[in-house]
Amino acid sequence: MSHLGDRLAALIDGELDHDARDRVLAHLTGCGECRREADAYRRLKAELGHLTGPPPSSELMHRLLSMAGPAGPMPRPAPTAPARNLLRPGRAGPGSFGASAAALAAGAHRGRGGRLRYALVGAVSLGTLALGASFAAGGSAGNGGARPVTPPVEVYAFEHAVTVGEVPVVYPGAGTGAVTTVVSTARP
Amino acid sequence: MGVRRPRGAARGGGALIAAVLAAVVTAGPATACPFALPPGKAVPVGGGGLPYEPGSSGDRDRSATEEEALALLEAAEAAARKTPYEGVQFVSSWGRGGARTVLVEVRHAPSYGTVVAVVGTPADPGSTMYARNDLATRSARLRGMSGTVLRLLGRNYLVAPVGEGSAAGRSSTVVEARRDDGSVAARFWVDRESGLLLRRQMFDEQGRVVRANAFIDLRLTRPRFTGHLPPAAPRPWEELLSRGDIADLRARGWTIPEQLPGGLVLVEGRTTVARNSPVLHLGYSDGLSMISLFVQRGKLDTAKFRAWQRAEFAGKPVYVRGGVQQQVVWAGPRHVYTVVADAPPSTVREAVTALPHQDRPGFWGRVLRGLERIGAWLNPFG
Repeated sequence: MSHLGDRLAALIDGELDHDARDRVLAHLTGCGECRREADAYRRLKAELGHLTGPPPSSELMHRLLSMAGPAGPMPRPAPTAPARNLLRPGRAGPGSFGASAAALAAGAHRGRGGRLRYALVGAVSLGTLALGASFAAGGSAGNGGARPVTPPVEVYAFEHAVTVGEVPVVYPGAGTGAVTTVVSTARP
Repeated sequence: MGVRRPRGAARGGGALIAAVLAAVVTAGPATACPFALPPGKAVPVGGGGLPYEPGSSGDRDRSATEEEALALLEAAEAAARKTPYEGVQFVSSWGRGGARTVLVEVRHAPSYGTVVAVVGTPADPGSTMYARNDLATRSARLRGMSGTVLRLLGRNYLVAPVGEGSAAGRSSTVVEARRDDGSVAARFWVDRESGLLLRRQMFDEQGRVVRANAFIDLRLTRPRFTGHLPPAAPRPWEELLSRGDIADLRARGWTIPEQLPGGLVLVEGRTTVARNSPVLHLGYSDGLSMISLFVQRGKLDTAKFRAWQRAEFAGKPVYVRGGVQQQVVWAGPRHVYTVVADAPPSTVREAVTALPHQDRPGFWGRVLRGLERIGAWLNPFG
């Protein structure tokens, strides 16, 4: 134990103020024992500064990469999923088939019920569409394919007028013989 | 009534008499009035006989006053044919849509014919047409009654003079036609001087006026036709339907009722051809109302009637257009029907309801029909 105590480590770490450093340095010039202790501190500090963390193992690396994945929510790993098949050393990065297969395999257990639901919804939708289309197609009642007819009502109106002797309200000179009302008033 | 019917009244009595306001003539010898063919004239095209053969069944004994009233109406037709006159007449009808009126100027010269001019307005140009006088006249609303229509009037209504009145500023005899329940169905004003029919009103069962024809101005002077005559009015369809024709058409699926509700009976049948397909014109009357039914094969093109009013008569869809004439169009099972009528709206509604209409399937019926159509589209060779 040096004569300086914690002040020696503080000197080495640069944590002393100006006056305290002067007093510690003044003592080191006269005390060999404290000088040797100060050197030991300095070497230890230097060695600690060069140290780096241990590299992750390859297995951990692949697990992390597989988790990053293709995009999308991460499937919950199945308890019985054969994860080791995906974590081979040297496999490709994100988007690998293996990663997708892992996701599918992870969700296989839950998808079987979803497809059934989708199929049922699709069947109901198709049935409703077919029913609606049939209803629409059966709308305008036809005469089994008879041609559409537009009765010339104006011509008929004139034919009626000339046969019953009523005032002619159709105008043969108008071409179409349109029925025309000369004066029209609403009932008060 | 206990009064012996005058001899010879079985076929509607004496000569037909023209009345006022020639609508438009047009019938020729070959298409003479089906109500009373001139003696010696050729039988109309289509074989012997007429759709309506005035018979004695249904006729009832009439009193002297009834005979007098019917004679007045009969005489009005001859007066309209033989008397020169000119004047202005209105034709009005009332319905749910309000009142519609047409003003008509008439000039009649016995040796020439009749010029009828519908008065124009800023909204409607009006028009003028000419009807030759040498042709047999058709029964006119203000020209008195022909034999068949007169018989129906006497059969369905109690007709009697009820007193004196005034129309177009002239003294007249008023004749009423009453229903069996005593309500007034029509009134006629017959000019005491000339015998012309000056005014006519039709009433519904509630006593409301539904139709009126009347002179508002009349001058018993010979008109002068100066300048070129206006276009001639078209003739009615020339081919008459005989009873044999009617039976043949019925056998081929055409619906041709002998009677319609309200005392309407088939009084005339004509036919023409349009687009290589026959069209029937069937005339029904009860002596007052006149309804023309036009029938043609095919499917109604409803898209062309969007401007019409879509209504339902007893749950059956029809297209209606109001005016001085009532017009109704609808689809039957295999034919398209058109009614043009001068009749109370209730009479028209009952007649239309009694005629064939296309069935309206329910929900599943419509779905089944749609499936059949889709199948036909997908398999045109099926």
